[in-house]
Formats: sequence, C-alpha cells, structure tokens
Amino acid sequence: MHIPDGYLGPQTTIPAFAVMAPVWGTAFRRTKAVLQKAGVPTLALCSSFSFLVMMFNVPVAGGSSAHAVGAVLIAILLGPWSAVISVSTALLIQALVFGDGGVLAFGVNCFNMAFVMPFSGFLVFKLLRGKSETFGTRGLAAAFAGSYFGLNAAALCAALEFGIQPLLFRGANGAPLYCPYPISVSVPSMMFAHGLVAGPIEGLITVGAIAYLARYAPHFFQQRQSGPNRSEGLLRGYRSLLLPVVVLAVLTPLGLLAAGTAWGEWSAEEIKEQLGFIPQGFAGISDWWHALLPDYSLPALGDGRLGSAAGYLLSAGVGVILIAALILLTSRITAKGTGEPK
Amino acid sequence: MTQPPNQLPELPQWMTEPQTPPPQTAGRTRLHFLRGTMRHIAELFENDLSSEKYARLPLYLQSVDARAKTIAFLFFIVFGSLVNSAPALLSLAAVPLLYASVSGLKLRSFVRRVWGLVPLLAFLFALPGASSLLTQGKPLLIIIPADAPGFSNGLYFSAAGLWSAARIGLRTGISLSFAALLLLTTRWSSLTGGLAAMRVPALLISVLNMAYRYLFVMARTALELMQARFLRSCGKLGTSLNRRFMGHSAAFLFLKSHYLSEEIYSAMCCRGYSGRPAGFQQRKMTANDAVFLFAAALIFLILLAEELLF
Repeated sequence: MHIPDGYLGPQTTIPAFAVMAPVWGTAFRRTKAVLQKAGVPTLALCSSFSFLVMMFNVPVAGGSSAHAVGAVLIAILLGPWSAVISVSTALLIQALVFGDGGVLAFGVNCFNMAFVMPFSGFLVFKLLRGKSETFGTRGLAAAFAGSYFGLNAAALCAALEFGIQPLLFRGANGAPLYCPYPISVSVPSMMFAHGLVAGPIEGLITVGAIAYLARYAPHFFQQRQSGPNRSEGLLRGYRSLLLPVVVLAVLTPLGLLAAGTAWGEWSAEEIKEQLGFIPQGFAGISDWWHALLPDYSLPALGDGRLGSAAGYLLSAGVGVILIAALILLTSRITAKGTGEPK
Repeated sequence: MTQPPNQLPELPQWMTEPQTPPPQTAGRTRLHFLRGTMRHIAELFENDLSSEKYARLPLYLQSVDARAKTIAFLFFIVFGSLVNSAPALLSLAAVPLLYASVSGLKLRSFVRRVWGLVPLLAFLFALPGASSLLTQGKPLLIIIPADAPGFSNGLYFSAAGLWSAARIGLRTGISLSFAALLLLTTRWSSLTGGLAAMRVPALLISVLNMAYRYLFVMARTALELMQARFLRSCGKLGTSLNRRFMGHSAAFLFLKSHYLSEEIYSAMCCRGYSGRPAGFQQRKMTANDAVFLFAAALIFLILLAEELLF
C-alpha cells in the first residue's frame, strides 16, 4: 500500500500535504497533552515499533507472506492521535531509508495509513466493543473487525487516488500521464487483495498482540489514560504557512478545467495568437533548434521512428553531457573551497 | 556423547538423546516469513552502515549543507513528477548518477539499490494499463493479432502506451535516486538539523531523531526474536501457529518499546530535560553551498529547455 512516486500526479500528492498538515498539528497537540513531558520518547519508541511491525512478514495460507501495518493496533493501545504520529514518522523513515513509498507521495501515504486507517479502525473497534473489556472475547472480535476495516478503508483511499489519475491527467495523445488504471480497475483489484488476504492478516496480528498483552501485561490496559485534554493554539504559529498551502490546494483543481496548453509549453503559433507577434529571440532559438533537429529527428537516420528515437536520445545525451560538465566543475570548485583531498 | 546420563542431572532427558534430522517436507520448511523478516531487518543495519561510510567521505555532496541538498533534491523530485518529455526525464535520471559518481558512491551498488526493484516493478505493474486494453494508439508491439479468436481488437502496445509505463518507472526511480543520494551523503543528524532549520517543528525533529536512533535497538531485539525462533524451528509448522508467533512478537516489541521509553525518559530527566526539546546549532551556508545551488539551478534550466523543446 506504500504508493511510490510516479503513480500520482503532483496535483494529488501536494494537496495531500495540505490535508495532513492540520492533522499532524492536532496530533502533536493532543498526544503532548496526554503524554505530558514523556511524549517525545514514547512517540519515538512507538514510531520505531511501527516501523518494525511494517517489516514483519506474516505467513499466509498457501506458503506466501504479507506485511502488516499495525496502525489500528497502535490506535487501540495508545489512541488514534498517537498512531498518526507514530505511523507518519515510520513512513518518513521508510521513504528515506528504504524507498518504501515516495517522497512526494509521503503526504498521500500518511493520509491513507496514518490517518484514515487508525481513525476508521479505531471507530469500528470502539463501536463494536461498547463497554466491554478490550481483552475480552467481544473486545478481541472488535479489534479484529477494526483492523480489517481500517486496512480496507486505507486500501480504498489508495485505490481511489490511483483511479482518479487517468480521469484527470492525460497527455495530448490520450495516453495517461500517471497511473493508467481507472477506478473500475483499481478499486476491485486493490479491494480483492486487501479484503481477502491483507485485511484478515492485519486483524489476526492485532488480536494476537492484544491477547498476548492481556495475558502477560494486563496492567498496561489498566494504566492507560483516557480522554485527552484539549489545548489550543499549536497551529497558530504555522497559520502563515498553512493558509497559502490551503488556498493553493483549493485552487489546484481549477487548472483541470482550463483549456489550452500548459504554462510555458506554448508553440510559436500559440504565442503569436496570444501576443500578436513572435518575440525575435524565441523565433531565433526555435529556428536554430529546428535546423539542428528537424521534427526532433536525426536527419541522417531519416524522419521515421528510428530517426525520431535517435533524435530524442541525442538530445538527452547532450543534456547529460552539459549536466555532467557542470557537476564535475562544481565538485572541483567545492573540493578546492574545502581544501579536502579529492 | 559418550558421557553417561547420570553425570548431567540438570538436563532433561530429551536433550541428552541423539538428535535425528527432521523429515523433509517437500523441500520447504515454511519459515520463509522469518527469513524475510530477518533479511529486512538486516538491510536496515546494512543501510545505516553504508550511509555512515559514505557520509564521512570528504567529497562533493558530503561537503554541501543538508538544507541546500534537501531543497535542490526536492525541487528535482517535484520537477521529475511534472515533466513528460523523454529527453528531460532521461537526463534527470542521469543527474543523481553523476552526483553519486563525483561523491565517491559505488555506482553499481547505487544503481542496483535504486533501479533494481521498485522502478522496475512500477513499470511492470503499469504495463497492462499501457496496453491497448486501456491505452489505444498506433500499434507498435502486437501481442495478439486483431483477428485472433476472443480478441476482436487484438492486444498491442502503442508507443504512447509504452512510454506512459516507462515514464512511471522513470519517475519512481528518479525520486528514489534523489532520496537515496540525500541519505547516503548526509549524516542523519545533519539531515534532521537541516529540516529543523527549515522550520520543521522541533518536537517532530526530536521524535524523528530518537525514533531513528532507537530503531536499531528495537531492530536488534526483533532480530534476536526471529533468530531464536528460526533456530528452534524444524519441520513443517502450522500457518496459524506462525501467525500467532508474529502477533506475540509484535506485542512483545510494543511492551519493550513502552518500557524502554520510560527508561529513556527517566534518563532524560536525570540530564535536566525540561520537556522542551533543545534546538540544533546549524552551520552557516558557505560559498560551496552557493556553488552547488547555482549548478543545480543551471541543471534545472537545461532540463527545462529539454522539456520545452520536446
């Protein structure tokens, strides 16, 4: 369920950060109020725990194995707000250290696994458990159902995020720019795998862990505090940062309604249409480039597919050589600047 | 064992009996989940070791401030997710390799780490969607001809379809490359220090730093749990039994983390912790950082030119 970069457009991934920013802010405020000064080590160790649980390969019938997420387990044990922080931190370390989940997709992954999953799972758990004990039969059944539901809710969100990509982002030739699967494909395929395999596994791991704690550390459930104190004003310091992000997030879909070429990708004809003339410099560069590579193909190989492919590769090669020269030059300047041996 | 049993009174009888090898069950002991978990945890240590090794080298990227690298690489990742032309994406994919080579990273292992699995999988997963089932166009690679029974329209890949799948793989690889490059050339403390200087809340930085540090303590415990189970297992074990073991391991780790956090908190209090995380002393940006940022800006302009011209 860790979405890598490349499947989702930035118009989806960047607004996800805007959605998550107030969630993270509130989560820090709420957990700080509950855990008091001991908040930092508790959250840090919970994050480490969350990271390791996601590394666990859990056996599945038939000899295969699947990964657990553990977000609902943490939500049941420490509360959903703690789960937001723990799972988000674990996801950030995973994205940087292992490349599990993209850097740009970090906000979306957090939305799915660190927000939707613990909250929806915890809600189902609370509803089904009622006033019973967490480690009683009803409590364990509720934990199973909550974990199953939470994981599937997160999977559904991921499937919808995948599924809207081909609806929103297509190139001029009609080919999808990001994930090619529409909702009619992404939702059934994701829900089938998660409903049948990953969901029950997640539920069984949660139940196994709670049953173990109930047997060997029952005092843990008695010690747990409930009803976090409300405190205010944490987001006030970041209001200046949040407001433009929220405005941008709201305005982002407007670009989808606009007809015409993307900004900066105008052809000479389109510029002439807009301005009434073609700037001399633009016309000069355009002519020079087209003289070098007419129709972006290599003249020696003709204007067929081979020539076109060679032209693209040549252009990429020229770009890479220029970039390599720049990197080499600056690395030498930097080495001289630091006085370090190369 | 030639010693008589009466000389080992404290050992149970089954331990003194000669061990017979367990019967082979179709060549598989069904302990792959333990091997997989141990391999994942071992990779964590391996990553940290290689990170420390490369981040210490006095070379190009290592001497650049973490903030400058973070900003430039994030910019490249965002740019990579926006561009569509082949030359721009291919050139952008080469940028981290060039940076890696001048920063002393072993190119082969870097390429294997970054491009070896995830981008390849991203490309393969996107392939069915890139076929004529979902992306039509002028056929380039015909898999099933149009007149084949059951496939009235046939099955083929168009150039546009194949490129859309390749683009997903490239974008995934580019993002992974820059993230790996940042981690391999920057010490974790400098990285989070850079984030702190970029006004990321100090509380989050503290949690991130402590989580990363104690991750290895916890990982060692998890590894020992798995190793102990692995060494004591033989023959075929039931799937439900194995699943229960993983559930219990998760609970044990949770308890361990809970108690460890209490100990850490007590230790922090002994050292005068007041509940407010201490800030980082970030070094000032130098001329080297300016040179790096200037070069990154020029690289961006080259890539932008490629994107606009194609």
